[in-house]
Amino acid sequence: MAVNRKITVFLVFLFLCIGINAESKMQMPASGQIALIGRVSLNRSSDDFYAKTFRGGNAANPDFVAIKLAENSCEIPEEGIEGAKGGEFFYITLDKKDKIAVRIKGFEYRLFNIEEAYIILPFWKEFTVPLEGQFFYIGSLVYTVEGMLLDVTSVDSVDEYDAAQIAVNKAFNAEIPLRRVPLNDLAEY
Amino acid sequence: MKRIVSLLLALSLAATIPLALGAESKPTKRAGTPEDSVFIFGCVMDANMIRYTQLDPAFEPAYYQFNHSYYFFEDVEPGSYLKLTTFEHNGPAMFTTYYIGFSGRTALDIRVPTKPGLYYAGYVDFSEMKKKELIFLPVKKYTEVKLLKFLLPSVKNKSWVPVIESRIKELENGSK
Repeated sequence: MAVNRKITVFLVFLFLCIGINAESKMQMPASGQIALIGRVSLNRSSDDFYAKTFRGGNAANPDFVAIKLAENSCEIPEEGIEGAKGGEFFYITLDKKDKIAVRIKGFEYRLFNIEEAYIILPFWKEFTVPLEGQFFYIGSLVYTVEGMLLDVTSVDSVDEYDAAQIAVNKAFNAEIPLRRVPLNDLAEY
Repeated sequence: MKRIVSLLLALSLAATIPLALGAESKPTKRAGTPEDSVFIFGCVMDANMIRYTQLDPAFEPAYYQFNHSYYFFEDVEPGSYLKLTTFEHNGPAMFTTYYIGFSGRTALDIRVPTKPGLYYAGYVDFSEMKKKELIFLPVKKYTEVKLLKFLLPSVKNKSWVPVIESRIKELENGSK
């Protein structure tokens, strides 16, 4: 009986661990790391043609948007998260290492998260990482695409700082001091 | 010399692989005839796999894949748009997969002719990747007739066979 009780206690402990992990929020950036917060949406007709035409496509899968960093930028750590579902806030942790700036080429937007069904969304902006703070809001971007090959025709930048603040607090389950950063143009290459 | 010998060995080995093994069709792929479809064929030297995706929403969704340097796609919908979306290159030093996506362009992207029949997409060799563009250069020493003769035994939809045979005859008579 004593053995059974031990097993039961162990199992309860195991379930509790699983439960806690399932409920766990985004991991806070470590010292020497920063987090980028923003949102990228694609303004396009919402039918599932592309899910049907691409190999392995599934209309139930959400779009995915991944950040593309330029050279000499703070980098995504190994095993780090590179983006988020299309149209949702992303929280991207970057290693500062010996870099002083975040340089963003753009975003790779994957329709229905299909690897080969991606659109390059240009951004070409940079900012010098401030000495204070770890959480930086870079804006909310809405790209409009047109035509059969979904060419980018325009991009609108929307300031959603307040919504981003609420979202980041929820994601990290803490009061996060979120900062806006002034973005400068980055030379395209 | 060593390179030539190894190339010949590789070619003879490749020739033993039945072409049909490389073909992959989507379950929903349309069935057609030479009267209402286009038969697209061509070759990308040193390709290990190529995949075209039909990207015009006005036409039926479809993709066409061939795991070989030679390729042929039977029963393609006339007027549709095929974009090269994935290309696996078996280069001299390494094996590279290019996911071309929407933003990348290649000269191999095809607006399928609206007139049913055969369509020769050319015999090309991969040269380089410049920014978002894959560059393919034409290879002149191989001809359409050689390619058709090579592909003929592997054609699945047999209604294309007389069309291909007639084209082979036409090309051979023309070259005499």
